[in-house]
Amino acid sequence: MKGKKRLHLNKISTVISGTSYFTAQKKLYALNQLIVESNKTAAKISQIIDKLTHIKPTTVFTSVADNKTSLEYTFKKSGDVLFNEFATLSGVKFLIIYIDGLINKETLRRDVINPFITKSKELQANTLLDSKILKSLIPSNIVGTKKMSAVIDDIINGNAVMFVDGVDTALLIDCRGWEKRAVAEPDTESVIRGPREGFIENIRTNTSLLRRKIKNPNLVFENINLGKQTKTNIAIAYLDGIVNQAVLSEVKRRINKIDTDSILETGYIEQFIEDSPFSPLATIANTQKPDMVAAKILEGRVAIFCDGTPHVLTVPHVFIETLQTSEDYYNRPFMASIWRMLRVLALLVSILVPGLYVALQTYHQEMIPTILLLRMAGSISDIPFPAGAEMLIMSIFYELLRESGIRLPRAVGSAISIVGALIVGESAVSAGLVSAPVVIVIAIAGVSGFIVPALSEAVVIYRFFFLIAGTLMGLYGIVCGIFIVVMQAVSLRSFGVPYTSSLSPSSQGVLKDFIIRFPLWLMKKRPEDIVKDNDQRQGEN
Amino acid sequence: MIILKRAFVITLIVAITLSLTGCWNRRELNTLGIIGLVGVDTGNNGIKSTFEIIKPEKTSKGTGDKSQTPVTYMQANGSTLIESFRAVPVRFERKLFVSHAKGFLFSEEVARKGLIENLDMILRDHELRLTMHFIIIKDSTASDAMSVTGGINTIPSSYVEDLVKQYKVHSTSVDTNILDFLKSYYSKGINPLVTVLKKVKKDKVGKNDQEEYELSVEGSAVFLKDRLVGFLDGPETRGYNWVVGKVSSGVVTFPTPNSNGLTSVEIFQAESKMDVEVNGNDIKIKVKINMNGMIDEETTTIQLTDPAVIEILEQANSQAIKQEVEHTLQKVQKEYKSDVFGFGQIVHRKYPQQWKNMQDNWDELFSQASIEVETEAKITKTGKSTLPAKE
Repeated sequence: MKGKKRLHLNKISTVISGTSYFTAQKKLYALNQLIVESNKTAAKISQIIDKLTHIKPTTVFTSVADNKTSLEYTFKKSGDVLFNEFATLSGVKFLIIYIDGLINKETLRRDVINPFITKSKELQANTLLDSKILKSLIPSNIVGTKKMSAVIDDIINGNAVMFVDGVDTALLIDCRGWEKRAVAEPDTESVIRGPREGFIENIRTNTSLLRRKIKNPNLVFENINLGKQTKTNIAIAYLDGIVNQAVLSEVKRRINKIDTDSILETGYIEQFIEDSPFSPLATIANTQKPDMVAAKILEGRVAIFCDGTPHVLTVPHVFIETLQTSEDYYNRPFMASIWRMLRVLALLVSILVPGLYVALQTYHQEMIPTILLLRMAGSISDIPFPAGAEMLIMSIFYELLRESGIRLPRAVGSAISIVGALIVGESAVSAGLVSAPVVIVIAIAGVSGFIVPALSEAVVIYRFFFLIAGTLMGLYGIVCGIFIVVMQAVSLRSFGVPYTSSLSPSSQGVLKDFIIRFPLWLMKKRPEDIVKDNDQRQGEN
Repeated sequence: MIILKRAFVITLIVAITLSLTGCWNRRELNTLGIIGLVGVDTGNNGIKSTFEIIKPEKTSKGTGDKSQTPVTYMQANGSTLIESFRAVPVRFERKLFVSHAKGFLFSEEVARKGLIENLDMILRDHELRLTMHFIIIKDSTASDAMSVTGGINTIPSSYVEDLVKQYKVHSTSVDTNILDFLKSYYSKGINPLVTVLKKVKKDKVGKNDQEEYELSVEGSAVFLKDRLVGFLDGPETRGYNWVVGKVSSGVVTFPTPNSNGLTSVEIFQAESKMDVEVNGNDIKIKVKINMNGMIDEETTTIQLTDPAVIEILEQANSQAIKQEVEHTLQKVQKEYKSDVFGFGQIVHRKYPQQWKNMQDNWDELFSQASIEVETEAKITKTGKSTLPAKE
């Protein structure tokens, strides 16, 4: 043991002459330095290589292999981007790139690949070829481009791109075909009389639906891509010659200022461009029905389509539009006018009745007819809550029921109505937790709220607002509340058009198409608040 | 800066408007005792008030016991009316709520002393309505009459209200509210005439040993200013209604001329024209009454198809009205010396100069005035059958 240790401790100089511990240490240090430096250089080199590979080629390569590597790099080898390599009978290699699911493979095979292979026997391999000759070989809609960015855009948008070896042009093949829903009746805006078709999630189908309504070269769709990541297709539609130019330019200005990652629905656009983001009343309308959009465009409005949603925005939006339905114009004027009045009534009932009930019951008992008062007094005699709290609880419960009814799967939906009708309607009343008049009031308010769907969000907010106002201050509070709500509504503008026109500021329209819908042959002018010039709809004056 | 200023102004406005409200009180419905009727009698230290408080009917099914009276009564004494109101909560758990009171009942005894002191509270308090029925209870105390329910209504206040409103059908009473009374009281040249109710024994129908009572509308009460001076019975009250043109319905029955029977004519429409002529000290009251009616019952065999017969009947009819009216006028003039019709107001309008000398002793002058009643009756229909039932 001792001898071994000793041997180990022998100096290197005894083994190799002319060396010492210190020189070895020095050399080792120098070596370490060298390694660190070389690592640094290696990093720099890899950075440069990285940079070099990151530079997107601006033009298309002539070789198929180069194009393939470049595009593979661009698409990060994403699984749904397919690179199909073929060769003609004469040996010319060609490459077709597309995103699986976005194109119609049947069309691609039938109209592009087969004809190309059969007709290209005489093409020479490994030579420079003219793209014009290639185009003549394919009986399909083909555009040639040399820009790599255009190639990428086209692939993303669902076209196929073909590269042929030896050609410095990419051939963009239009063979889009992806899964889409059929045109169907929208759930929310169903009608008895009038067209059943509704917009779908595909913007082209939607614009075509509108084009079929307005067969006029003046109908313009201006395409814009929005969203830095999503690159969503947006179309601004208007009827040139009728549209209010001021509104149109304002719409374009606001849309162009949108700077966001994604546009997934028109709701995104709406929130970016609306006039009063904090107002309960929306200043932009949306609809799913082509006939509604057509009617609004014909009144000089601007429509905004967005790919991926059946909801189309129309601006400017004024208050009375919320009370109008397409059927108002398809039915004869008498019923239409009566229905419009009923809608106004329903709106007021839905907003005011819970607040009024509490106000009358807790502050103004003298205003309730005696018999009714006695009935009410009888039914609430054992209720443990004050009237305002009771109404608030029931209102919140109603909103919960409504919300769960929307979210639940259809099959379970009936459970909600059972819970709502039986437990709340029957048991809570007979158990003496809630009084029957409150349940009735909530039911009336709730049912009325559905009559004006365009305002349903505002109605809920206002209902609670008036309920609280009525609970705290009685009729005085309700009147103050009406004052605030009306002031706020009157102060609103939608793209420069006053929200409450044509009532305030009043114009001829308040007579003809507000509460009462005049016969169509009497409505000779377009709404003058929206169309500034060219407001003659029909006839002479 | 501007925003700060605006915020300040808005807060100021809100603060001011919220603090400048009028009567404001939050009270849950189930803390209120809803009063249906108030009865005022003389009590130990001035006034004894009786309140009919309605028990709200519970809506829950199967309460069963329907015989339970839906009201409860509270009685309280006080030197003033409001004091008696405020004496109730000592023995009653709910706040009295008077806005829905259907009527104020005063006993004859209180009314003879003069009512105006009691009405001051009704005028002043914010909860009381001036359109409440104003009723004098004849012969008994108000509290005694309040507990009577003779009709179908189980709540006595509704019973009283509906009963009083029946005056339109028979025209033998009046329906006055507090406002009417006060208007007449404050005007010169007119005195109040007020509804009268009386507690009467119910006629026994069938086997029923129990003594039952009901209320009956007994004409009207004549006031001199705020003091009850006497009563008019049913037909006399209709005489008053003829004069002031308030007859809206009813039946005039008179002996059929030249035969042994009666004719009843239903009143369709009645109009009156009141006039006063003043010549020096000579005052002449002129009343012209037009009536339009239909023969509703004829007990004789006269030919109603003959226009001449109808004319004779019209004559008799107008005579019957004339007698009724003259009787009432004379009774009010001679017995009560109180111008409940408002002839004084006509004098005021027609002879404003002379009125200045007359206004203070008008009721005396009224009792001396001569009367001229002119009546005209028209029978326009004879009903479903043209021939009398009797052969």
